[in-house]
Amino acid sequence: MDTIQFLMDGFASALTLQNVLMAAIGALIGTFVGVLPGLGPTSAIAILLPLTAVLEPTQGIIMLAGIYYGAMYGGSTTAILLNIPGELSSVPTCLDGYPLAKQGKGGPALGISAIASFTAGLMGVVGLVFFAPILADQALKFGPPEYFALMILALTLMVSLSGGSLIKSFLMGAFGYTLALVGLGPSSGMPRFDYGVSSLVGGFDMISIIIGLFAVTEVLKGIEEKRLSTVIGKPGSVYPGKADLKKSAAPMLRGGLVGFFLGLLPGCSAAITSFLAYDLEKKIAKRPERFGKGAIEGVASPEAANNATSSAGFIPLFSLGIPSSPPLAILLAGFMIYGLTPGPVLFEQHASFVWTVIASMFIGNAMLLVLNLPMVWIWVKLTQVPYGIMAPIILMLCTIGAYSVRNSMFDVLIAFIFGGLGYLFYKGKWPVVPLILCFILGPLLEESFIQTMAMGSGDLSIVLGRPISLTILLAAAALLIVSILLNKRTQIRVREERRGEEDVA
Amino acid sequence: MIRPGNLFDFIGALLFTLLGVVVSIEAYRLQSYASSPYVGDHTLPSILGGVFLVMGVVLLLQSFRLQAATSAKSSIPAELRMRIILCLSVLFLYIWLLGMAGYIVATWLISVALFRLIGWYRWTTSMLYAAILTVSQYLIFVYWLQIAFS
Amino acid sequence: MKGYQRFGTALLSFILALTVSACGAAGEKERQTVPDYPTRQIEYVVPYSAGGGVDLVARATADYLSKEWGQPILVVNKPGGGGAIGAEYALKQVKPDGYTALAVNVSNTTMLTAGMTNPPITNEDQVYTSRIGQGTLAFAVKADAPWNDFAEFSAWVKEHPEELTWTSVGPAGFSAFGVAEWLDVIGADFSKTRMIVTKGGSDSLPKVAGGHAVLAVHMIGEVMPMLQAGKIKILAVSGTQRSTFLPDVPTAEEQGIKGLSVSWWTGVSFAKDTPQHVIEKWDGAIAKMVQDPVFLKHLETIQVEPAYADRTVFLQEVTRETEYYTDLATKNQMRK
Repeated sequence: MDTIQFLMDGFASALTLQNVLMAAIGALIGTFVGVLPGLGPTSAIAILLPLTAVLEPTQGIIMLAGIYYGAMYGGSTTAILLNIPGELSSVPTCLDGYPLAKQGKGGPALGISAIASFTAGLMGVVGLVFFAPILADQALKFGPPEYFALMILALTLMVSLSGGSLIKSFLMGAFGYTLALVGLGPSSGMPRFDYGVSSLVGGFDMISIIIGLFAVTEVLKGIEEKRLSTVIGKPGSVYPGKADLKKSAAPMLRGGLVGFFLGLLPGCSAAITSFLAYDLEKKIAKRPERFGKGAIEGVASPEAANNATSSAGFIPLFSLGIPSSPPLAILLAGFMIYGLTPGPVLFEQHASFVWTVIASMFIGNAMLLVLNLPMVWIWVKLTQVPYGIMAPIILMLCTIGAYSVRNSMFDVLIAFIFGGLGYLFYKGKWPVVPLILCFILGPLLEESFIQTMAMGSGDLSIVLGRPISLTILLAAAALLIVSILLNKRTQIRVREERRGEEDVA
Repeated sequence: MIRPGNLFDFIGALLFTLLGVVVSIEAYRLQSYASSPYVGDHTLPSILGGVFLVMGVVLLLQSFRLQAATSAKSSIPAELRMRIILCLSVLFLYIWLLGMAGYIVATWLISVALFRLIGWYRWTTSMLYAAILTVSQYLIFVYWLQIAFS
Repeated sequence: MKGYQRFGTALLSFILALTVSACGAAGEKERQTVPDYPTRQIEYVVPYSAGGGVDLVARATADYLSKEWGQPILVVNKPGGGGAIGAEYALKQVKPDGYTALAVNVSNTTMLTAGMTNPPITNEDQVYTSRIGQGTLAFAVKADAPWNDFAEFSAWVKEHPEELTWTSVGPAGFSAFGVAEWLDVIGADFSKTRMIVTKGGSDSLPKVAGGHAVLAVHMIGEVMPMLQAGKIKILAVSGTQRSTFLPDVPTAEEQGIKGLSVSWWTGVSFAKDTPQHVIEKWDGAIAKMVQDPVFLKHLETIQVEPAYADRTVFLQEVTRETEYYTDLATKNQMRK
């Protein structure tokens, strides 16, 4: 009951005019930066972090959290309307969001995505309030063998996300993996795949690769199609209809749960959970072949997972001081700069601060919904800007987005090269999603593999000897079989229905 | 004759097989740093090398076998293809120009070209749009947010 | 932009030189040609993830200096490869114009040189500008581990070296040297123990707390949250006297294990061709900074002891340390 009391106190102080204003400003700035194609949450927080350093601790953290949520949401907007994800975690949203926008259902898709984010955010915060200490303890049980098993499970997604040819998607996956290898090796610290080029020693930056594969490629596709407006199709209604809401309620809940529980694990980023949630929906759907062609569930679920993961990440952060994703790590740094060390002591020593921040997360989430639902029409209007004007703007923003991550022209070059490659992949029907997926999973898989081998003195069977990792591995095997069967079924149906005209990617 | 749809697979498979060779060579080199023959920075590169080689060869064979099954897609008009190639070249030129002429000049010149290429606008219109774009981007990102283009 | 600036500066200095020589005031010339610095944002590269010791000191420094100079100093985290990726970037991949500073610490300097026969960056690649802070090592194990003190733990390790797993950011990481030196002192076989590679403190401590690794050797500030959460316990700290942050934990020396000298420090350095006036400006400002009560308070909250050393002393210390660690690494076959 103490918790309730603390939370109420937290609400009382979070609802002061100044704090509400901070949450609103944060959410707004975050959304605006996130909406710019080519700029996502990580770049948004990184660019805007200095702006909040002048504020008081409570206000600073509230605003930072607002920027984080806002940029997440803004990133989904470009993912849906322009097929340009601002962050890796928005890639699954593109898969169905963009087809929906093309069909003139961009408005409802944005609405659903806002509602899904809100619902999942609330779920995460509720979990944070009531279960933080218990859950944090469970997360510690996850060691390298468990992560290794989890990465194997995530790799099975490749089969179901492959769309067309399995061989092609494996090759693309391996390619994504190879790209992630470039740089210094994790176990020896020696450079690899650098071939004496010093820029390569730093490795490829994920943001520049997705900017290339999605944003630049999309513009090139637009030229080919001689697009007139940014999105083909009527703007349609803005608010999601009852049917859409009904259809996406369960996916939102499932996505939220997947995102929440996996989000407790340090290192399990929103990019991974949103892919898993998307795949889950596809697997349990009655007609999985609709996915990738504009299924509203395919927007609701990953968006919910995405946001639940972001909220769940606060649990290990607050109770153990472990940041589980890059934006949270920046937020942790924010805490530390203010002299607040996250951990159990934070709850004791700065109780009012912690509960104010938690309460403001409720408020921030609500704010986002209130701000964004009415603003959806602005973003939809944006897509009616003539393509000839929009495309050069997108390309110029891409340059800035790719450059600003590491202030490196090399990254811009990579973005443009991958833009060209992405176009060729599109023409040759080579799916890019496995590439992105493996690029995310690559470093984690390799690291957990090396750690597991060290733990087991070079014996991998340790993975089979531990109950959690064994369970995950068995689940992975089951998923793999289901995926292959479903994949066959889907392919047959797709062939029957439309003679294999379009590809998932 | 190999049809266009297959040609992509064929070339792709060939390139990936080659990549497999490259990755395998690198994996072999990396092995010298590792303390164990199985664990180290070379483990996953060698697995990937194998995947590329096996899958690449399989696809190579398939691209011949499936020749008849794939339908040739209508190719895009030569003018549009030219515009796509030009657009990409202009972007690469941008990187070079940014280092040479500075942000404002480079961005303006390149956006004029892009507005013409993608929007099919007249020169004067393109120049006007490009000027607006350049100034606003400069003010937001370079002046206000202090991103240093050098 | 840059081109104009350079052209502008060149033109300006030309005119300046003309006027100066016309006046015949040769003595004034030198002072006047010291360019204005900084005139724009400085990137302060931290080659580790945010929230760690190096990162926090760098952020506190950036905070102070940006107020002092009126130009933003942006802390950029580039983790990976034991701190070599970010260092490589800051020292080799950008222009040495003084607008990219590097946060250095033991792991990406002396230990890196010691751990590799052909390190990606060396002492010669950089100008050591100032050392800022120092930290004590803490030997952390799981809270319910069977050992009650460090002597007992050392005896167990001597008996069962093959059962010891310890975390480190790499074979040439900070923890690796701490462990190697300790095992050397107690006479245990280093080569039989096993290293588990992690991304740093916030990655390795959960592994120890969850029982996936036996030992983690980190700075006090990094172990604090997990210690307070009751998930780990500290068996000993290094150094000659107890840490003010952990007055209840005995030093290794008190427990009869003498000669543990590996310590953690952090500072700032620049690429080797950076203009001299930049180095001087930074060193001067940092010397002033370590007197600032606000900054000192800041260091205290992140459990780092101030340990300023100017560029001359800093270089000497680094050179001496490099030799010592190289010996240690050679002896234990840590060099690759």
